[in-house]
Amino acid sequence: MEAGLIAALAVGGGALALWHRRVQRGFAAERAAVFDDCRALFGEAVTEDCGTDYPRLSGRYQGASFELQPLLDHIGYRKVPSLWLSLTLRTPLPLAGTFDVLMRPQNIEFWSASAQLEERIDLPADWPVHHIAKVSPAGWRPPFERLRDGLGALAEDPPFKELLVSARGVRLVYRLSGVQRAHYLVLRSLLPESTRISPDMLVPLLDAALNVASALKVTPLEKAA
Amino acid sequence: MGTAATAGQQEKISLLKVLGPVHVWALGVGIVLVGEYMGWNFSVAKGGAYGSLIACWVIGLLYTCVAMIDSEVTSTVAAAGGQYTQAKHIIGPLMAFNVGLYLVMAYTMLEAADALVVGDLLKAVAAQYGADLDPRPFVVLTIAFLAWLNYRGVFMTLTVNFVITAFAFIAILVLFFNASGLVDGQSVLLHRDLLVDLPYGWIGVLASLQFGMWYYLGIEGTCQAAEEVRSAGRSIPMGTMGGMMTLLIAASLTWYICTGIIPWEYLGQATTPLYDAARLMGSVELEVMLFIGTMFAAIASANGCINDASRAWFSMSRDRYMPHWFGAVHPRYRTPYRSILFLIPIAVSFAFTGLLDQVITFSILSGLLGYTFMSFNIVRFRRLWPLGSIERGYVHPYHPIPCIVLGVLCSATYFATYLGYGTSLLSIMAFYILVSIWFVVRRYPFVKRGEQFTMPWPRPKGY
Repeated sequence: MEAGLIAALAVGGGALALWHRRVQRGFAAERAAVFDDCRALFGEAVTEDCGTDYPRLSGRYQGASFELQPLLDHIGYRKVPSLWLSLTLRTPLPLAGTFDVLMRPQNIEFWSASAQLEERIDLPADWPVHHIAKVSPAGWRPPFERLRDGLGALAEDPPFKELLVSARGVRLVYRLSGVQRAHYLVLRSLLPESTRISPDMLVPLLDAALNVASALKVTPLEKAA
Repeated sequence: MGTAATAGQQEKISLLKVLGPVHVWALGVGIVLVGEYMGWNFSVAKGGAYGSLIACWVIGLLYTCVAMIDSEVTSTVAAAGGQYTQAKHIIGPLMAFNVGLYLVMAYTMLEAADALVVGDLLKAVAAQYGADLDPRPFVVLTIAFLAWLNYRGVFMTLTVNFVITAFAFIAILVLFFNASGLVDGQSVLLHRDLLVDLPYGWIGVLASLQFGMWYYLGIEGTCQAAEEVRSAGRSIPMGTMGGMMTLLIAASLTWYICTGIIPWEYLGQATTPLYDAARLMGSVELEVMLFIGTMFAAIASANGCINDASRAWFSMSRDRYMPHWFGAVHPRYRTPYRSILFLIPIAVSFAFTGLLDQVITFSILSGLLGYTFMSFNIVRFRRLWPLGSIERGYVHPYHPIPCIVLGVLCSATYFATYLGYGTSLLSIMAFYILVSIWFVVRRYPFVKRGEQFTMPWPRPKGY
């Protein structure tokens, strides 16, 4: 009787472990395929596994060099995790400092540059209200009007999370999705609501990053003309 | 791209779209199921079997008030951190520091209690086979293994988690069906012989309120804000209330089985009451099933506790309420690894005491302090930002009745704790007073006051 029970426990445990492994592999495959729908937008697209949950995509869009990195943020306490997309446009910009605006800040955004910047500043009234804006070095100010023009309607978009500009380029962070709320509340399972990045969602972000860079590159003389 | 229109559609999401019936069921059992497997029975020692049942239902009312109040504030403070963030925005840094600490301590003590149960259970099984097992290595092993899982940030899959939770719940049901005779027509329940009147009268019932909290401790964890919190404004309270109702049923079922099998004098001291009930049934299959159920429930609970405690500690460190060093995130696993590691020795040291009722008391008291805070927090919240001044995802009805009821029940539970665990009550109060002094004198200068308030609310009324 006892031998039978021990055997049943061993078989049950083994089956559970195998099932767990199989499901984990399925999730890993889903995460690896996050760029499958939008890869065609990029020339010279390279996807690399950088050791984190999601791969990183590098490629060229309209001749500009982009890097895309999804990031599952489950660090918040009493907060349903979010899946962010960090989109970086690498291009030299005529800026003497770094500017960051973080929407709906909670002071737990470990992936943001905001905490490292020196001075908190107020933005003009045409920016959305729920934000924290910072610059480095202290005292330096970016061209707010051109930044706002470049960002356009994206600034008002609820999933828009962060804009970072520096002499090295532009970074946008955007909320791709949350995790499935019920599954997280019940079992702390991190199952994103969407597993692929669609071109319809991505193209406006790529264009916004290019617009911000273009707006910053325009000289006051060109703008006046 | 998401648009305002999309957000508008999300406003209309109903409970059924957000939470299916299975989720509502699992909402209660998934988070606090371990409360059915251990801890609740200490209330029997205080007030007898009936006293325990009364405590279960009275404390259910306390948690209903908690759910109502927490839902309103959480659906308005669109930020992480639960009561901690609420305290930061509505009262101030000292309160936030204390509330953050209540949360960390409540979960760390619960984690210690879970590990202690795992060790004691293995010891009990070994004793059945004539072996004398030291439970402490298993306590350390349990905490270390779960801390490692949390450090690695392993993606626990829905399927496996669900199997574990479902198994633990089904084990209770199987025990119920076997004990009540619904399977073979022969009930082994002896309520007629075992149930006695209130052994210590109504003062005993009052004393049992303390452990009545164990049935539900942590259910408010379902009030989770999301980045788009307002879209789920209604699902937060409805989900929590669904979980509450499930727990009330599960708790009553557990009480019914145990009080019909184990005399109240023994039940009030048991470490693992459901497992003991299965042993008394004389069925090896049931015993194994309840052994696995108890292990699963304790391990799943401890795992969640490490997750929650380390994240609360991380949030406090980011705000510089604790040394900023703890606010680091692992570059590869994206977990608050330093917070996870720091809390291990604290949990182990409490688990090593072997005093389950004392460890549970510390956890309950920390939770109770948090609920007490909520009763006056909501009054201040409504006074500083009256209805209509800011957008609320949910407005709880009958204000201020829930906060008055909550305050009264919290006071009664403090008195209950004083009756049985006066030294623990006074020592934990002294602890929070001392750390508050430390915070004001030594820590507050490091706090970046300008970055504390992250909500775009209008200036409070009267300021």
